[in-house]
Amino acid sequence: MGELGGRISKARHDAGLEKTDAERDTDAAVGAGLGAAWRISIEIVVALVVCTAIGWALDYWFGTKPWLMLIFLFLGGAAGMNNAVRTALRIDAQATEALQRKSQGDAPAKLGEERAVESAEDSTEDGEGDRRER
Amino acid sequence: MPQFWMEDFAPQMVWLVISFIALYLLMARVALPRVADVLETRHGRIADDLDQAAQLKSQAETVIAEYEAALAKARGDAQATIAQAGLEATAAADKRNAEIAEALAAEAAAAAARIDAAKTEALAELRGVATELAQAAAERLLGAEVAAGDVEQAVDAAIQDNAGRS
Amino acid sequence: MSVDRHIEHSSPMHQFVIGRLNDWQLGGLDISFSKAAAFMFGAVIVATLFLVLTTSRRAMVPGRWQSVAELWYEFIADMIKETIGSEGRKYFPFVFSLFSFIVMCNLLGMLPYSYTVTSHIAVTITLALSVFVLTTFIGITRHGTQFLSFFVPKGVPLVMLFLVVPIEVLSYFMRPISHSVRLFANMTAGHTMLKVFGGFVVQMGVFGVLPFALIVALTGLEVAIAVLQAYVFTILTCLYLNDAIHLEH
Repeated sequence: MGELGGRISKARHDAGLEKTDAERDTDAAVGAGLGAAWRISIEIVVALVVCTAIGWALDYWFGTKPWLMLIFLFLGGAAGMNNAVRTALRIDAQATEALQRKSQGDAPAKLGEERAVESAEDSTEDGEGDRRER
Repeated sequence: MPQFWMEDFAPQMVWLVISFIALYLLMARVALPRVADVLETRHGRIADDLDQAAQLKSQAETVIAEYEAALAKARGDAQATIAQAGLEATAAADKRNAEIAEALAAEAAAAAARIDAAKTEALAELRGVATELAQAAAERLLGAEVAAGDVEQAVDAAIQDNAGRS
Repeated sequence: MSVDRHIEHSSPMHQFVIGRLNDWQLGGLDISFSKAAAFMFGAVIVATLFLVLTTSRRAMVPGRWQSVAELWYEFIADMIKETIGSEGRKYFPFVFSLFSFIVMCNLLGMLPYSYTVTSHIAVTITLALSVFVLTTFIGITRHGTQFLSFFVPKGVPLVMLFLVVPIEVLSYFMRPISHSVRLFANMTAGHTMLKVFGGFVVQMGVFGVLPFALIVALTGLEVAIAVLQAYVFTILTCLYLNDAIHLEH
């Protein structure tokens, strides 16, 4: 009887009727990580090339060679890094959250984690205050 | 690279927009509702089937529970019957024992009475014999008649004396 | 056409010529039908027929092909649920069409002597720009002027904003470009490589066995890339939609 019950709940699970959020998130994190690898590679190159081209064109119009191109080269690098890093961080956060939720169970774990982060911030602020007083 | 032939951009974009809108409409109106329908039906069906299975399982569990209850009851009944039978058997045995004991006691009493009677009779006979013997012995010894009363008295005294000693 | 281009038939680049079949004009707009347009409609027809035919039996226990159709559907549905959440449901038909179009164009391009629609920057930039316009439109209609806060990261000192905001704005406008270049570059590189190795096979005759084996392996890799790039394009679309809907980085 117990075995039958187990089989029914397993069938339920296999049919996706009882898939947990944690499992869904882990699936998502894996997929997103793959996407990030492809995204990051080209993000920086495109931003650099396009921004440099914009700078070059503006220089051509205003006759300010090579200053605008240099500025845009810098901005393009920053923008490319920005896009790439942001994606990486977001995917990373998503994956970590999914893993944490999977290892610690659901909502209560998350609440506890937030509290821990808050207290950590409090303590660092206190530390700074101490230093200032000294 | 033909990809950068600017004169090819416009026709590609035009046909891309047309074909993509066609695809969007076909997907949104025709294909996706069909797939969604199939999936929904099956999900509903699987859920139903599993619910049914769970229901059947709980029914089976009820039946098993009932069966086990009946079994326990039967076992209890049997034990009560056995205990009852034991009690009855004990009672019957006790009764028989008592009866036998009673019968034996009665027999013993009867035997004792018989023995007493025999003893009394024997004693009575003994007195007569003793008196006759004593009278005969005294006449032989004395060579004269001895009064029967005197002899009886002497014998009684001797018997008394003997009984007291023994 | 006014411009008369010529490209050698043996060139690895010849496969990227869109192959005009006529010279239609509509009010100054060039709407010539081409091999490219034919393959776009091919993708539309194949995707639609596949989904309709595989679900025609509506079998309770799905056959192999019906399973593919169901997986395809749930793959996109799950992707939207996981990246955007329940609010993304509205955009399911769009995201699904986008993925189906790209994956079908990519896979049709893998057939011998065919044409790869997505190896043209004109096509990928049109797709990426429609995503860009759609997400920006959603962002503005949902959040109004609040949408501009997307370019102002929280917790940055005021002085730094003069540098950070232009970078954020540039980053935002770089999105459709990287979005389209990624797909275009991957498809072009893959097909060029295959054609180059194909040329080796012909030139080397008997010794062409080696490049042929390489072509077989590369074709397998290209099929995987065809699907992966469609997936990447679609998940980035979902992430951009999520940004516009929830206004977060």
